[in-house]
Amino acid sequence: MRVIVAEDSTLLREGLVRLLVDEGHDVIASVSDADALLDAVERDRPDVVVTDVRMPPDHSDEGLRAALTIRGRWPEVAVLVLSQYVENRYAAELISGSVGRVGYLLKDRVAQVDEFLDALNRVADGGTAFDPEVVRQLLSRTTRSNPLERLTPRERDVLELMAQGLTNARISADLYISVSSTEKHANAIFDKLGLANSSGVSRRVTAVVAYLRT
Amino acid sequence: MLVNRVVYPPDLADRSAISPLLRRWLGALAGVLLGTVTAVSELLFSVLALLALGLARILGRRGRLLQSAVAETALALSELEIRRIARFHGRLHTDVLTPRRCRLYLGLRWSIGLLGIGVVLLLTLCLLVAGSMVSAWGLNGGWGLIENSDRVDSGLVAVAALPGILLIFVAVVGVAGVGSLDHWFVIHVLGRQSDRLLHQRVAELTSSRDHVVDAINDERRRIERDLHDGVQQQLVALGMLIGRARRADKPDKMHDLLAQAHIASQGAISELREVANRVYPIALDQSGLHAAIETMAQRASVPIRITYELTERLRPAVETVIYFVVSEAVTNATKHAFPQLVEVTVTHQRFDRVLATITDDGPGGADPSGTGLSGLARRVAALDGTLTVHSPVGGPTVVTASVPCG
Repeated sequence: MRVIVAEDSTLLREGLVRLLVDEGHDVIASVSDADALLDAVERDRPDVVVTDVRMPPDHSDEGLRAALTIRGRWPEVAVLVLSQYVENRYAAELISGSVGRVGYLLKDRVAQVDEFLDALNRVADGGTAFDPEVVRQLLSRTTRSNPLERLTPRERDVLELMAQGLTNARISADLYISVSSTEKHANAIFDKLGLANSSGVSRRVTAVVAYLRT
Repeated sequence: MLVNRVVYPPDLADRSAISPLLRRWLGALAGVLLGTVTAVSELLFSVLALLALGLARILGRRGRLLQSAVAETALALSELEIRRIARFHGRLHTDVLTPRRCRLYLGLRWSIGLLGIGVVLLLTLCLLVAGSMVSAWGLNGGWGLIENSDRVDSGLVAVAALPGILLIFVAVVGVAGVGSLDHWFVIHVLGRQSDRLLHQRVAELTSSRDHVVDAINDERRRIERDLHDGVQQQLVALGMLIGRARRADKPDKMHDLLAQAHIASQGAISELREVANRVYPIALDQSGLHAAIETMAQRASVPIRITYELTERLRPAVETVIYFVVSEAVTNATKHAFPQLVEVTVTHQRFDRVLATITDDGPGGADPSGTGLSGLARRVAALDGTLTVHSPVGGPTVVTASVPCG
C-alpha cells in the first residue's frame, strides 16, 4: 500500500521507512513536520498515513491536529497516530465521529514489529487499532455517570479488545471463549451502552466512542 | 563547653558580669576611634566625588571612567564601614549596595565620625584633668594644668568632683552612644530594620518557594522530554531493527540488521548517559563545580574559555545552581547564537557572593522570558541570588548570576 510517514526524529523516520519497504509497502513520502505532512497528503493521497504526535515547531500535538485535519478533509485516507505516552483526550478526539480507518498506538509498540504491521493493515482496511495500553487506561477511568460501570469484568475484557479493532473471532481466540459467547458479550455491551442497531454505523466503534465521550 | 558554675555569694555573679560590659565598651571605643579615621577619608571622598561628578558631566562620554571610579570607591568605603560597624557595634543586614546610596551615606556619615572624635577628646580631657588634680591633691603638689596655679586642696577636689564625675560618665556613655548612632545610621541608609526585614523576607520566601516548585516542574518537564524524545526514540529504533532482523528471510540481511541494531544499542546507551548527566552531573558531587564546568565544556560543540577564580568549594546548593546557570546558558548559546567562542567566568563578588558570567559573541536578541532562562532565574532567586540577561541585538549576550555563598 502507499504510505506517508511523518516523524521528526531522523532515526525513527528512517527506521519506519525501511521497515515498511521491507514489508513491500510503497513509502511515497517521509516528512518531519505537520505542514509538510498535509502538503504531501494533498498531493499524493496515500492509502495510509503514519504520524508522530509531537513534531516541530512546538513539540506539542501538531501531528495529532494534522491527523484530525486529514480525517476531516480526506476521509478515505487511513491514519495511524504514534504517541509517546497515553493521552486520553487525543485518543478520544481522534476517533470521535469516525467509523474506522484510524488507529492510535504508543510509539513503543512500533518496536513490536508484528503488532505494528498488524495495526497498520487493520487501519488501512477500514478498521481501527487502539493500543492495548491506551484502551486499558481509558477503561480504568471511572466516573459515576459512566455506563461502563455496569459492564461485567468479562464484558470489559471484550470491549477492550474490541476497541483495539479486533474481530469477534480474534477476541474469542484471545479470551479462550467461543465465538457465540463473544457475540453475546458484545450485544450485552451494546445494550448497556444504549447503542441501537442501525445500519451504516459500526456499533463496535461507536461503543468505544460513546465510552470515550463520558 | 557548658559548666554549671554556682557562684556564691550571688552578688559575685553580678560583679563578674562587669568584665564583658567593659570588653564591650572597649570594643565600642576601638570602633569609634577607627570611625574617626574613616570619617576623614569620607569627608575627603565626598568633596572629591562632588568635583569628579561635576567634571564627568562636563566631559560627557569620556567622564564615564570618572563616574565608575567614584562608584567603585563609594562601594569600597561603604563596605569598609559596614565591616567596622558590624565588628565593633553589632550585627546588621544591608540591602544590595548601590553607588548612589553609598554616596549619600558617606556624604553624611563623616559627621558621626567627627562627633566620635569630639566625645573621645572630651573623655580624654576629663580624665587628664581629673588625673592631674587627684595626683596633685594626693602628692600635695602644685597643679601644672593652670598657670600660676594654686595648690589643690581638699575643698577644690570636693567642689570639682561632682561635675567631674558627671562629665566623665557622660563621655564614657557617649562613646557607646556614638557607636549606637553609627549602627543606627548605617541601617537606616543602607540596611533594613529588622521588622521590615522580616516582612520582606517572608514575602521573598513565599514567592521564591513558588518559584522553586515551578523550577522543579520545568526541570521535570525537560527530563520527560529528554527521555521521550531521546532515549525512547533510540530504543524504539533499536527494537525495530531487531524486529526486522527477526522477520528477515535471508541470513545476510539478518546479520546486517543485527549489526545495525548493535550499533543502535550503543547509541541508546550513550544517549541515556547524556540524559542522566543533564539531570544531575555526577562530576559536581565528586569533584566540584570547577571540574563539572570543565567536563561540560569538553562536551560542548563550541569552544569555551573558562576563568575560574574560586579557591574553595561552595555549598552544594550554590554549586548546583551555578552549574545549571552555566550549562543552560552555554546550551542556549550553542543552540541559538552559533557563537565562535563562549566565555565562562566564575569569581568572588563583594559581600561573600559568587558571580558567574557567561558571554557569547553571537548575534544577541535572546529572550530573558524564554522558558529556559526564566526557569533559571527562579532557581537563582530561590537562593536569594539575581540573574540578569543582557542581549542587545547585534550581541554580545551576557548572562550574569550573582548568588550569596552563605
